[in-house]
Amino acid sequence: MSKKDFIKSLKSKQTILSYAFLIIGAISIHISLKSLFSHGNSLIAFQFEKFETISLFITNYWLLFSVFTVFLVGAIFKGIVFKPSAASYMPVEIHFLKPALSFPNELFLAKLIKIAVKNLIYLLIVFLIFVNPFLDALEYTIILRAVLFTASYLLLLILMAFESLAFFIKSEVIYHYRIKNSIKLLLVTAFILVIGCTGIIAFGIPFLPTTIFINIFYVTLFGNSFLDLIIVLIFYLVAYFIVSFILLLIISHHYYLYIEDYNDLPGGSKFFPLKNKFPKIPPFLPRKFFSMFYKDIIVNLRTIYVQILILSFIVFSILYFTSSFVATLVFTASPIFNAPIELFIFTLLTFLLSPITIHSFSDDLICAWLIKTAPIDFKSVFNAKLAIYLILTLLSTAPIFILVISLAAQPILQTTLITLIIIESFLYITIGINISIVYSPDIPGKEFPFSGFVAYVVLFILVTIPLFLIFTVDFYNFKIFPIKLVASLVYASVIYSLILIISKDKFYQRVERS
Amino acid sequence: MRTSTILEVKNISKRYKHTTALNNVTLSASAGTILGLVGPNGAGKTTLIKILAGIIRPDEGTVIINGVNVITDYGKIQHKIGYLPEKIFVYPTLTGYEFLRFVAGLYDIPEDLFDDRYELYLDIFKMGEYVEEPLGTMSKGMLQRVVLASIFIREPKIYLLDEPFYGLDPEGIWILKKILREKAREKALVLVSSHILPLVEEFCNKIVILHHGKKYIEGTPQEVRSRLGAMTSLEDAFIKITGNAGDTF
Repeated sequence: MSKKDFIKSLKSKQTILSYAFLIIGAISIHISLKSLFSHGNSLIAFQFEKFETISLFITNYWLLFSVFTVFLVGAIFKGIVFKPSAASYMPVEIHFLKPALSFPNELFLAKLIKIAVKNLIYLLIVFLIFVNPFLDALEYTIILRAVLFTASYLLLLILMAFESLAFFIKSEVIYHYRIKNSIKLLLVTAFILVIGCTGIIAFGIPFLPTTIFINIFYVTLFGNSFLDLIIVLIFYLVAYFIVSFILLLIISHHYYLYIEDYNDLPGGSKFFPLKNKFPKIPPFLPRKFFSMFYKDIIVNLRTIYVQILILSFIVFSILYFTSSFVATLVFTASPIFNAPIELFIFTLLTFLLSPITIHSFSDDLICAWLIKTAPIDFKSVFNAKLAIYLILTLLSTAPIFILVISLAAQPILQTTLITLIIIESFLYITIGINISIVYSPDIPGKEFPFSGFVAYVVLFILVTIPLFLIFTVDFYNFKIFPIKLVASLVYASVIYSLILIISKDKFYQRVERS
Repeated sequence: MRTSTILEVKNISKRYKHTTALNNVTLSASAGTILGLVGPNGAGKTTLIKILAGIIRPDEGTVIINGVNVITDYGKIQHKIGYLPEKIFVYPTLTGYEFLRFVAGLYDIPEDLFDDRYELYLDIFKMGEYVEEPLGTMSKGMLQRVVLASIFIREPKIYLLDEPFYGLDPEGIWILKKILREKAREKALVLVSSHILPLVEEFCNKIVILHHGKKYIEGTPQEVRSRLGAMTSLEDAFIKITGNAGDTF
């Protein structure tokens, strides 16, 4: 978000209120986590005794390794399939800014720095609110916290660089393949391979940057005893960072000088093998609703978010069904999820991991003329999106939820959890669609404003508090569960109706403005 | 005469924050008319078409299409309206074929009917294999053809086309004119806005010139020319109305 947009957004009372709630919410979560990991619950405090935690992490090295490898592969995959946001120029930038540049890759680098600074702020917030209480419980010193933060940020930068590198290398290869310059194609490939292999062999760097990061994390668990080893590992990450950014400088310069105009591939639409797959709608089904539904399925399947989501789902499912890490987690997780408050925080946080719904209306606002003039009522459009994003969100969060439901020892806990997940996800998607209508940028390709994310989080937390209160009344009494279920369903339907009315008004307001 | 009037616009006004886009505009057209809407930039052409298409509401006035008040009962008439916006934004990852199927679904066109019309307009607009490309990768002209095909596949009775010729090559313009003339012969109303004045003069049988949000003149191309004096073309008339082009040379 530019400075101008930020100042403009601050003038809105809604945004100020959202930020205020977010700060209060963040402080509350921080305090809850702190008390959870240290003094609040003696059982949990016992589970987080340092030795047991270390042994738990060591047993799950491969789980962490797999998760971080997914991040790394995901970043490269994203770069191959789509243009990174730093390399995506808006028309105004192409027509007015680009001709005025001193170096062809200047604009790209400026955008990259902007994203790097923004990511630094986000990481700092995540560290202070969510990670710090956990590190308190593990008795981390200030130096170790700084080390872990630096390593996390370096890894983030390296992933950014890898994503952009993947995009530029792919473009170079396609360019040389198209102009049938096989010698240059071979040279480019050889150059990259030689640089990569030389770096890894010469510096004795462990293979992947994610592996180095996990190693740093593991070594910090043992306190200051292995500080010299930590420094060496950090230097490996720094080396990765420097080499990848030097490569990025060279390749981006070449790309913007020779290739961009020739090889400016829009989107990644050709990646997904879904050519002309709009299915025929059987006559007994409501055609308008299913047209919208199918359109959303196709559009979503061709976005990187959903492709990565499906990939992650497959990876996590394989891990879940093939490894034995579940058994070790039962030991610590079970007491944690006996308490309703933790259950509530857990479901909230899990949903917030998958905020894809905020893009649900982005394209439809740009094509608003089509929706507005077509004989389809807004409710059908809204419900079609509700259905598709409900499926996607439940799909993306399913591995975590399945794991936790299987860990919950008592039937009441499992039943409450399943009910909460279904109703919360319904509300989460409903709110997400509304946020998408209100906050999606007017200009195609412009990134979603941060105030939209803030409003989403705040609204979701506020809306789910009554739901949580309904379920915590006499939590362990199974007899009154049907009453709670009916009450929560009534509450959810009231919220749905309200949001539907507000969304309809907002949508038509935006259509008129466009 | 009254029965054949398909479009009646009465005293339409629309104001934005600092400007008046339309000021008390009244016009009418009967079935089979090809109505050309011309005027300089900011004259209110796009605003008028958007109001007729039910996208925005006027501050004052009424719009009756086929006996239905568009402002209050838009739902009753929208399936009969085919609207083409000035700036075409569509789903960039959908292919041309998928987009056409999607629109057909929204307008409840039966599958077999869609298949027949799809083949017909695929051939007429010469879309060929381009129709299987994502819309985001298409040229302006090809995108225009796909979106126009999506309108014709529905076979509406009122065509509201904002700058339909812009971006089309000469062959595309020729095809579009041919189809629209056919539709007018089938008693449809065709309303086009355009900056290409010789084309409007040759193609339309009725012209409305808008200037500063007001209707300046309405009539056949011959009437418009004769009422504005001894002008040789619509272009001369337009220049006379809208500015002092002569002063700058």
